[in-house]
Amino acid sequence: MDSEDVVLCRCQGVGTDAVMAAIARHGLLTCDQVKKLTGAGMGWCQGRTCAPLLAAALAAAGVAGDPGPPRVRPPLRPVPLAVLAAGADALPAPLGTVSAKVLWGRSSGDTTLTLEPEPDRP
Amino acid sequence: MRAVDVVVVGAGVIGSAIAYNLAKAGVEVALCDRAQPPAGATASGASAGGVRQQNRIGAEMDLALRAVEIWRDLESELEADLLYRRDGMAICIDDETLLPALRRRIEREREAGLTDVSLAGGDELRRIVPDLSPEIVAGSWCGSDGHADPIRTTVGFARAAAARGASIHPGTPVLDLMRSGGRVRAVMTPEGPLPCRHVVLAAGPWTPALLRRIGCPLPIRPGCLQMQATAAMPARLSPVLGWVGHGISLKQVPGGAYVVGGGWPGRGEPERYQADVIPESMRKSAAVVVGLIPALAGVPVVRAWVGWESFSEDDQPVIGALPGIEGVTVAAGFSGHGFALAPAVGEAVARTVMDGRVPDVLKPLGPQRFAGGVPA
Repeated sequence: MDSEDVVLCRCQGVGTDAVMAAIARHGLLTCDQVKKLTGAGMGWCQGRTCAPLLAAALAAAGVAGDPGPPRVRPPLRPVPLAVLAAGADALPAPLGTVSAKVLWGRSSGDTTLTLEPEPDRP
Repeated sequence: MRAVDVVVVGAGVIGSAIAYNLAKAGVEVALCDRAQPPAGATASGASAGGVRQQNRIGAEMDLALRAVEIWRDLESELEADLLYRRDGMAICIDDETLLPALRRRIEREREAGLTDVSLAGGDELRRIVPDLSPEIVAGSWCGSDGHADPIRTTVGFARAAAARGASIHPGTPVLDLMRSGGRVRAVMTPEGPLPCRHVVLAAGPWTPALLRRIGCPLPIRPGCLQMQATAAMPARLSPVLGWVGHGISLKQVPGGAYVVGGGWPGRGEPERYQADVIPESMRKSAAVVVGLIPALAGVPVVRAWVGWESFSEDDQPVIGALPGIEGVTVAAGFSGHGFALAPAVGEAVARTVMDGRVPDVLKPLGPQRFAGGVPA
């Protein structure tokens, strides 16, 4: 952000200039699109502060129609990792990780130690 | 609708990269997507964003090596800030009995051409990542691995494709493929047929439904990816971290958030394009993060999200022309490893479509390898 810019999303440090530029460059129509492409609304307050400003930015850019609110995501308010993690070991794992092994009941060929780390998969 | 040479179905990162490469070569291409990209509930929206070469097998390694060559200059080529960082990746182990297998993996990858992957001891890794758990005894380190923003990359390819003449059709689901004389002639959309000479199916988990319509089933299934991210924190972690056996891909993105993926799934109904976060997956994944970097215990998670990816039976992508019908190429089943490969997949698939010859890098990945079709 340069010194003339105005903070729009204080959690993520996204300025009005970046938001207006993204709207113009990509032809964005909704608050959710602005969020995905600029990071505004992705931080601590999850857009509670900046969602109306995102809508105002879209209106100022001449976007007609309802920009909607950014999509609401769990966990709704910030939860420290250690609090989320408490008791996780005891949870049943109905899940396992998403992998061919889980989905197909077999692992892939030659994978001696293509143990399952960092897929780009979550 | 006006006829084109090629219709690409699916404006995720793979389809967009293919459309970009075709448009760059002067091919008339239409990129169709059921939604307005960046669409929700898709793999390109719920990718962990790793740009990784290590821990690839077979043809994926060749694609990854080529992809990282392209990644080097991709931001200037697409004229877009993709938040690409090439700060390395460590895949850690906490169990010394895994060392021989880890060594073999590294050896195999070095032979396959990934020259900068090496074994690093626990203390060596802790010099790179000071907060890394003392439980970590070793890992593979690859300094030319990294990460990038999946949504910016997806939209960046599509926008660059449009700038080179591709027509982009958001909100245009492809309902069927129209054939005659053993080849594809058009795709059917709600606005009517879109005539074309080739179709590239890059619709992720929604690809099999189209394949069934033309009688070419492939063993591809949907799996729901789940991600979570913390509030923005001061920059402290530059490489990507994995941890063998724990289902984690951890990185700190340029905005400051720690972003966590790695395999703990979401759920939902892919046929309705609907996906939900599984709270137990958030908790399991959070426990892994704290296990890997105990100093992150107090850092708050602020959001979790999900998207459907397609998984092939052998965990390798399915890329190539379909047998039995002229003019249909599939690029799906990336099994959670596709994001990093997209630039190379786009280049190779465009070449296949244009000259009808399969580049060596794609030969092992063709749909013919599933002679039996979908297993029961």
